[in-house]
Amino acid sequence: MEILLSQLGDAVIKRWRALTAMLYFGLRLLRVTFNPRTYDSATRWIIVKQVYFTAVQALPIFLAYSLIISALLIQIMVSVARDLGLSDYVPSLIVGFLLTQLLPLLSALFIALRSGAAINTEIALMHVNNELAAFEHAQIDPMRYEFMPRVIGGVVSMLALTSLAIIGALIIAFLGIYGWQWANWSSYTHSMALLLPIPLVLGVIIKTALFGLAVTLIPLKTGLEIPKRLFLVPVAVLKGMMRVFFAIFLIEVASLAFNYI
Amino acid sequence: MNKSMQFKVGLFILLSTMLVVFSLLYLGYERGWFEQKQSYTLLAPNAENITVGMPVNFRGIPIGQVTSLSLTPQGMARVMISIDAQQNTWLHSNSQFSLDKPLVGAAKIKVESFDLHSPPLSTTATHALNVGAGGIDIPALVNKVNGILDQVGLVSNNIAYLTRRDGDISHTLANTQQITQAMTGKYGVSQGLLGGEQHAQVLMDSLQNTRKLTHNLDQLTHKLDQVAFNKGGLADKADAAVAQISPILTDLRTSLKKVDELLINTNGLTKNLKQGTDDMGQLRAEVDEALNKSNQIMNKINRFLPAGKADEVKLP
Repeated sequence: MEILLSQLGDAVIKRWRALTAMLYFGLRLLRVTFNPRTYDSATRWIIVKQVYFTAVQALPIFLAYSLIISALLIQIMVSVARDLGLSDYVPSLIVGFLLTQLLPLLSALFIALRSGAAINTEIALMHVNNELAAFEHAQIDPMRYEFMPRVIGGVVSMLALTSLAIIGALIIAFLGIYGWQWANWSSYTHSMALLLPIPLVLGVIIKTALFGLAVTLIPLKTGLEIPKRLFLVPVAVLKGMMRVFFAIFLIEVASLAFNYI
Repeated sequence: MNKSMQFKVGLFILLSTMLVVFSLLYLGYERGWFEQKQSYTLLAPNAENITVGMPVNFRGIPIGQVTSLSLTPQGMARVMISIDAQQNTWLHSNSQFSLDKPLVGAAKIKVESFDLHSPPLSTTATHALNVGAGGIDIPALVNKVNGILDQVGLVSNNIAYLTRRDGDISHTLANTQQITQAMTGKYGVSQGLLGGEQHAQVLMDSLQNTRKLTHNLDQLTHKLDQVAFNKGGLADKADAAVAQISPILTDLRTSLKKVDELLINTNGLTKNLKQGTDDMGQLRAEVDEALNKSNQIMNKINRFLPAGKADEVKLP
């Protein structure tokens, strides 16, 4: 019993420490981010590289993936609502379920699996190979030149991809509801605009930014936490991905609770 | 490579930012940020089911929304609505506002304008908002249904009382059973209706007599038939008499014709007679003249013959 309790306490303390370390790391990173002197050509270049690999390179496949999922879900909603005689509520269903919840979540999962895992592996390898220590020796702040650009790039990519997915879904929703009858466009945009009050739009932007932060910051920090052994790199990636997964769902649940409770 | 990467990222960021900014501006435009608004004040007995941001619809099209809810000094609910400046042409002095609360879905305020040529709605005066007739009040509906269900319960209790064992209905049913049993007896339905075999027997007897009577009547009519319509019967005789009447009538007609001729002749005769009497008159006048002349001659002769006795000529 005693052993069990001490194991439980140990686990809780470990997680608590990891969480506080993560928050501290995040705070340091934010301080660097909001310092105007941080941004020189080198950091800008790394940010551009990060955006390129996270968003631009993945853009075609991401758009195909998000548009197909949107089209399928909208088609299902439209036909089910028509069968039940609730066609009037399709726009609010699309806004409430697809645009504000599902698409940001899917984008976050996409970026987490594509870029988060890569960042995690890269940082863990740099950490194991003492490259980061070498940077510090050379008076190069890894926070400024390695971590912050990745997080900024991740958040920017996340926001851009999610916005594109949402705008694409809005057009797909119009086609799903009205077909190619462009005469209905103004009434459609008007009803959609009424369903998208500013607090909701801001909430979606904040949530998406938090997703972007989670899918880049957590892999970074997790990659730095392992002992310097090469065989522990996969463990770091696994741990990082699990943490990202939990963080995404925590943010999602918090946003749902904030919206509907 | 680096230039190309930078260009692509730059293009991506620029395009996405433009798209997002344009979408947000369009959203704002559609939400009416850049439109002038006209504010109207509505008064309602209460503000239940009314929320800030609730749409105001005219014929199913949203034209505005509720901006604030407050209480008046009289304890009424004051509902402020703002209408897009482009859309307030639909509001007229006779417009009516009502709360539309469907069974499923969000409530909205409905505007109805019956006469689109009447003067525009005043922005300073307050207008009535009808909250009662607008929607379905589920608790009231449930109360009503409960009342109906109570009544149904009472009715079913009454039915149970009526159909209880040894109740009126079971007696009635027993009687019915007796009657139907009697109906299956020797004299059938009549026995059931009349109440017993003896009564039925009387009915049967009278029916028997009636049958005999009709039989006799039948025979009688048959005989009458024979008497009247057989060969040499009454009808034949009548026929013969009628046949005889015809020549008599013919004779009569010829006689009458003759009488007619006679009358015509008589007529001619009387005409002739009249002519005759006319001629007689002439004759007499001539005779009178002749007598006068002869008298004159006689007078002349007397003058010639004075001794002689003056004879007179006498007319017949």
